Amino acid sequence: MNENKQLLLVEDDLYSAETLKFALEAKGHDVTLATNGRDALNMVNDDMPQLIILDVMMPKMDGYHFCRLIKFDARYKHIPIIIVSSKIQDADRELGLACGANEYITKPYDLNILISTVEESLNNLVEEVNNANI
Amino acid sequence: MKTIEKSRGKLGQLLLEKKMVSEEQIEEALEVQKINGKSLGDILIDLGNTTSSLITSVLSVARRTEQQLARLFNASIGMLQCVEHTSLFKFIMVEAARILEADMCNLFLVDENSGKLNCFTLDKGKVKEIRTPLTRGLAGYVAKTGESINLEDAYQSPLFDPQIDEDMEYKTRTVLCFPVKQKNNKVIGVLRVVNKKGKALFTSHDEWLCKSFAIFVSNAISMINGKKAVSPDTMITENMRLFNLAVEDLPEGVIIITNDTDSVVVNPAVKWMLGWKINKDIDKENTTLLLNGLGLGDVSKWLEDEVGMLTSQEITIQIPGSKVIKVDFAEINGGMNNKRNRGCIVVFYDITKEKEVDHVKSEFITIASHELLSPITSMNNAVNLILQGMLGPNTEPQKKFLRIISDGTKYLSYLTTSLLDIALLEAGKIPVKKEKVDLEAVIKSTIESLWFKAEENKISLINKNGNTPSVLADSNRVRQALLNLLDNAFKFTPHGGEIIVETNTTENEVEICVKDNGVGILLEEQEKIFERFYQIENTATKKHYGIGLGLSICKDIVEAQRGRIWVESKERGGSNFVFTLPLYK
Repeated sequence: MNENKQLLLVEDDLYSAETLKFALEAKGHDVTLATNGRDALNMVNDDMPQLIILDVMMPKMDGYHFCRLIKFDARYKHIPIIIVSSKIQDADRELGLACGANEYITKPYDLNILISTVEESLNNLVEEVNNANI
Repeated sequence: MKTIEKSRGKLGQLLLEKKMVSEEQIEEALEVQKINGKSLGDILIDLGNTTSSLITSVLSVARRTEQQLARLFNASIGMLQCVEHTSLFKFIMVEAARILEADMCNLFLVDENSGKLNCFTLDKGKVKEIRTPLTRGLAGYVAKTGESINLEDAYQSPLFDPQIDEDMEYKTRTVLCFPVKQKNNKVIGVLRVVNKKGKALFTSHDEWLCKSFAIFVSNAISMINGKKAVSPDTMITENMRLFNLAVEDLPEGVIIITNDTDSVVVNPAVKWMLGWKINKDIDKENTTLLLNGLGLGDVSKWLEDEVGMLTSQEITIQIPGSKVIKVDFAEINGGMNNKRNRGCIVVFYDITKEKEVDHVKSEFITIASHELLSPITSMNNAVNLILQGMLGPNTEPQKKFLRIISDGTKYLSYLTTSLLDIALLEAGKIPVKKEKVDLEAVIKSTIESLWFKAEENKISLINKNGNTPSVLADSNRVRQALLNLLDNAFKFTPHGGEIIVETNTTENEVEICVKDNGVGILLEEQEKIFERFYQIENTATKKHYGIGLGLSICKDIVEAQRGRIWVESKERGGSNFVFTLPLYK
């Protein structure tokens, strides 16, 4: 696993993406950016990120579709996906979780809360790996 | 789609020519637009266009025509069953007041010999007669001209004779006067309906009801005055014919079908609303076929007592273009004979427009939330990153202005989410579950999530609830309501103050109280604070807080869970916000 490609951020809104990328990098994470689902899919294939932060409303392939492709693929389904979406209705959240997302966070979100959610998911992942090794 | 092509034509070509964007980037931008469907502006225009038509259709649905028609029908049958004049007059006055939701009704009959109006009134349930000259008062005018009158305030009219109030020891406010006419249009009497209940006014729909009622009054009086005995079958057939007249102009489709007679009532709206093309005379047989064809076969089953109850339903009809029709039913006493009779009133409301508005509204919510929440979130996060010094140190003046931006974006974010909450609540997009909720746990976790904020504001947040039973509610919504109330309490509680959450259990409900020892709320403000956009002024700091939506959302949420909400407060004595939730049994 490539240690330098930890997080994949999939977001078509560049302003959102840049602020979030900056904040995560400031916390010491490595972040790769994809602006649509199709590019993101190629990147998952090439880099195998540790975690994916995913927007929903995107061109070419929306977040739900992308999420399903990842979570129903044995090679990638272990990768935690945090959906960050401006679709705030309960039905949207349910759809997101049904597509296999691990967390569904709605905009406007607090950066600190998002970062702690990311870190928690990463820690869980480490624990799982450790448990598996035991 | 047209707007997309057009926008590409102008801006897109320009950018392409100047080599500022690549073909691919334009494709991508267009695709974003396709996903979003319409632009925010388009949606807003749609919303405006459809809202005005919505208002009229909502009014027609709110009328519950089937219930009123059922009362009218039962009254018309009841009138025919009266065998002597006094009981008929009493029945007419009681039923007119009931059907029109008014305080009382007087019946005036023209006495041809004396040229006077005999005025009948009810005094402690007994029919009393007062004679008035034909020309006097509102009833005199209506009897003379055959025109109807609808007054918001009788005393404003020069026609009104206050003597009648003195005679009856009464105060007339709103009044509806309709002539009772024979078939040849000769006025034989007047219905005078007084004071709509609930301090309301008589509407144009009430006028229609009163006019229809008068048709049956005329029929009943001519029957009781008639020399020849008329068979019940003839009576009921005539009654159905009169009903066809009464419902002729209604915008709603009306079908009345009973197991007592082969006559049916079908108004013209049924035909054009449902696209029913019929060349033959309308009778019970083809009406039944129509209902069966619409998937409303239960109506004839119900008439034969084969199904227990008819429930309101929505049907979609394709008659060039799709229509959504809401069908409501009301039960009526079928007829005159002694055998067990039953009948059914079927009313069709065209709710296509409302469905469109619903659709536009939810589209608006989706677009608005995306278009507004994304940039707001970016702004908020970006400015906070700078403020936290993540991009290097800021000077004090820079910090001051950054805080202005930060407060502004926070306000925008709060405004947007509140408005979206309301839009979602109104569109029924926030489904409120009714399940067993462990109230104690919800309160505990909600309070824990605010400890940080309490510490920051030096306010002690105390949880005094314990042994609280479960309630029938939606845990997320309970949390939301409680959070809103606590948020409100934080705003009005000074440093060093305290906020207490406690519960009381009554017979059927649990009361959840959020008490603070803040500035309190003036008595005259206590009702208004639950209205949309009402802002409380903090008397201590003269500062306005929020946009006045938090408490109104709270009220919506609580009421959707069959609870109530109120506030008990004294100025400077703190406030106690209380909401109730039904016990889980």
